[in-house]
Order: sequence, then C-alpha cells, then structure tokens
Amino acid sequence: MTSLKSIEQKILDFSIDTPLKTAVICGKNRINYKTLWSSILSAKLSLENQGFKFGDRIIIAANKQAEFLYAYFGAHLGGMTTVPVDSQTSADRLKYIIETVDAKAVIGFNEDFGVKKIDFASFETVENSECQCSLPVMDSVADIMFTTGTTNIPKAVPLTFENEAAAARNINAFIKNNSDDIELLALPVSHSFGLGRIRCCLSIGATIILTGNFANIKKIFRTFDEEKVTGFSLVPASWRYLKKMSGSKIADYVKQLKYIEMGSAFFAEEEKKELAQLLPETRICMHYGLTEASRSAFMEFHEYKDFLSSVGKASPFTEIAVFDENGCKLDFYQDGEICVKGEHVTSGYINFPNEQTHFGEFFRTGDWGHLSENGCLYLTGRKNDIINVGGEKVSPVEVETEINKIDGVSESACIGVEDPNGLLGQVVKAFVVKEDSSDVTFDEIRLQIADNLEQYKIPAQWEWATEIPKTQNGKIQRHLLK
Amino acid sequence: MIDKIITIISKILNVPSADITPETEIGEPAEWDSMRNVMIFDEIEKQFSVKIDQSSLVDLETVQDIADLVNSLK
Repeated sequence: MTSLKSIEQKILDFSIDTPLKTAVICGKNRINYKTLWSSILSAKLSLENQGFKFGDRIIIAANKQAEFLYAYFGAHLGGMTTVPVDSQTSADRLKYIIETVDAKAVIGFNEDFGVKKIDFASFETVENSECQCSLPVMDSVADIMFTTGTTNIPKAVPLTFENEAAAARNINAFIKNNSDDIELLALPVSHSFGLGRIRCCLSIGATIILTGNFANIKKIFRTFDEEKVTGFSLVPASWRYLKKMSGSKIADYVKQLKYIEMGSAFFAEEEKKELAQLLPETRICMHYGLTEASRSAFMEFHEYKDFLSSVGKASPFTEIAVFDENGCKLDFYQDGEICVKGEHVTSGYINFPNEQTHFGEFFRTGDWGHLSENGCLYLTGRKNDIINVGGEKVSPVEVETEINKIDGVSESACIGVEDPNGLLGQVVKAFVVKEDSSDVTFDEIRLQIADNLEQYKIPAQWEWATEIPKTQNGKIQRHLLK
Repeated sequence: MIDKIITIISKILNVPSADITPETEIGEPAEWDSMRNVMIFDEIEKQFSVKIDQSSLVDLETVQDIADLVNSLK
C-alpha cells in the first residue's frame, strides 16, 4: 500500500488549507485552489450525470485552458481514465487512439468520431455543493498517454495515480520548488513534460500560468515581469528560439528565476554552459526521461559542471541500471540498455507483450548508454530511429508510409538531420525513390502528405535516391543515409 | 503592406487570411508556434528585402506591430 497521495487529494488539501491562493492563471482568468476544486467537482458530476463511470476512458483535447484542467481532474475523481491528446492531432491518429483505448467520449473536439462528443463549456453550470466524492484509487489508471513507437503505430502507456504522484514527488524533490513559486508553462500539455509540470505545481500548492507557446516573446517577458515568475520549463528548441529572438535578455531575470526544468531532447555541453553562465543563481535542472518512466535522471547545470556530457544521476526515489540483451546487469562503463525502476514507472503498454518491456522490475527504455562509478548516466545512442524535432518525436516509418502512398513514389526512407537553422535540434530529411515513368515533384509530395501528418513531421529536406539501403531481411538501414 | 504580411502569415500557418487581423497577437492562433514564427520572419525579410534586427523582435506583440516595424525599415 503506497503512502503517496494522489494529485487530486493534494488539490483538495490545498483548497482547504490555502483556499484563496492562486492555483492557475490562464489569460485574464485567475483561479484559486477553492475555485479549482469546485470546478473539478462540477466536471466530475457533469460526466457522471452523462452516464460515465469508473474505468471509462475519455479522450480530452489537451488545450492550455482552465476547462481542460477541470475535465482532466474531474474525470479522474469520477474514476475515469483520461487520454490527453493534442487538439491539432490528425483525424487518423485520433481515430486510432479512440479504437485502441475503446474511448467512450471525446471532450473538446469538433469533429464526429462515432463516440459521444462533449463540449468543455458543458461543465460550467453543474451545481456541486452536495457532492460527495471519493478520491482516486492509487493503483487504478489515471491516464493513457500515446508515444511515438519505432513503427508507425503509437504505443499506449497507462499511468496509474501512484505513478503520477510518485513522478511529481521525485521531480519536486530534485528541483526544490515550493508553494511560493509561480511557474510559467508555455510547453504543450498533451505530452508528459508539460502535463507533468501542472501536476508538479498543483501538488505542492504553487501557482502555474498557462500560456500558448514561446512564439510571442514580448508576452513571455511581460508575464515574467507582471506575475513575478520564479520558474519555467523549456525544451532545447525553445531556448534556442528565445536566444535567437531576444539574445541574452533572460539574464535580466537572474535574481528572479529560481528554477528552470529542461528536457525532451539533446542539449549540447556548450549550450548548457552558456545558459548556466547567464543564470548563475538559477537551478537549471535537465531531465532524461520518457513518457513511460517520467523523469528518470536529472542534472543541475551548476552542480554538475564537471559532468555536463552526462544526463545526470537517477532521480530521487529512482534506480537506474544498464543491462545486456540477455537481461544481465552490466558493470560501470559498459554500454547496454538503460533500464529504470521506481514507483513512477509504467507497468507496460496496452496491447503489447509485457515480457518485452521489462527486465525483472526494471523498465527497458530502448536507449543505450552506461553508468560511471559516481552514478552519472551517459547516453550513447538509441535503439531505434526516432527523430526529435524540437522535442516532438517523429517516427520515420509514419512519414515514410505517407510518402509511399503518393502516386509515382516507389519507396522512401526518413532520417533526422541537424536543423541548419540551429533551432530545432533535428529536422526530418526524406530520401525518395520514384518510379521510372514518374515526374512527381517534392512539392507535390509535400502538399499531399500534409493532409495526414502534423506540420513538424513534414520533411524539411528532400533528396532523390536511386535505392534505399536495406538489410538482407529488408529492414531499412537508416544509419547509412546522411 | 499589412495585407501582404497577413497573406504571408496565413500561408505559413495554413489558416484562412480572414482569421488574421492587425490585432491578432503573435502566437494567438494555435498554429502560430515558435517554429512557424521564425519561418514568418524569414519570409517577411525575403519578400520585403529588409533585415530585422534581433533587438526589435522582442518588442513585437501583434501583426500591426510587425507591419509597423517593416514599414520603418523600408
């Protein structure tokens, strides 16, 4: 039996202990913990009144608006499992997700998908003063998150209330943020990083400001000034963008910013040093993690100044070990598969053989690397070919599948290449073999695949090829392409 | 001038030009993320043959602000 409290229990506690403290700022809307809890109860009642019950799976458009939070936590209180999905996700992907989880409803989407459609606004008017509610059962599934698999099939990751409460505890323990903090969130909440930031803040009674994205630099810095922001989160691409658009302006906040959490993509040692120099008093905490195992390792740029090429050490309450392909633990400095153990780690995927996901109690990340004697973890590669476009993970197979559908295309292969603009880390590059008689152009291919792929998945670079290198078994050898 | 800027923005964001007005804030439509913001400024620099200084970018908030800046550089 876990001693952890769910995030929902924590919000209830703060609604009693610090009812008037601001929990969420969203545009002009300031929501204190008491109102937040009351709105969550209304959403829960509204869903129950519509016939939803314990165990039902509900897809929610993960928008940065207060109503998303009410629906998300309200569904949890009603014992439902939520599936937060990017509101701009393609219709095909959404249909796949609905079928995979056997969703009973979608909240916040306009299109018809053959399941009940619920509008965020429908939660507003439900009276909840008489509401009796029980808190979530810790080992039941809170969320199902979808990740980019090595094939074009996204994997469904169930996370229990215990997983999520443990992750928030671990992250807060490393970052050392507290209830006085005011955090700005400009990352998407459809991914575990952004959504996790909300859970971290609300589980310690802090304030979180939800804002669109980093595009509007003036608005970001104005919010820093007006709200006295003490922390925020970044992916490397957002930092490069901030730097491109505002130079070293971030250093103006050297006394104000207590912490930054970074993650989701490779960040070079030189870039770490540069940011650390600009903010010498800020805890700049970079995680290594994945949806399945939240933030499994952490480093702080100042503390780890001699180990910046590592991804840090195992997060608090987390164990990391490196295994060979037979599941035997390896010694220091020996490269193998990085595996993680802790209360925050998923039990396995939905509709997937779990014997392939674990070595004993350790979850297999699919990443390659080694540990040093002081506990620092060094990544040396990935087992798969996932492309990381500014923190968004792209399966090459998904893009290739769409390109191969185009008339005149014989076959294709996609890889990640360094973004020539230096912003996104990687962009997608496509190698295309066309049929002999075809006069198809890259513009035509680009236009046609844009209907079925998110913008960041569309290749930025294109090259004609006479053939795609393959193994004897027909597997594409992407490492031979440049 | 502002019509041409709106056309560039709507094309890059892949939204109807009627959805973009002089008052539209940078980043306000969900499609207007930082990646596309860079593409928008690259295209504006190309089409208007201007060089936008980094120090000016941090003062821009709306489509009108972008038009005023480009105007001042012409």
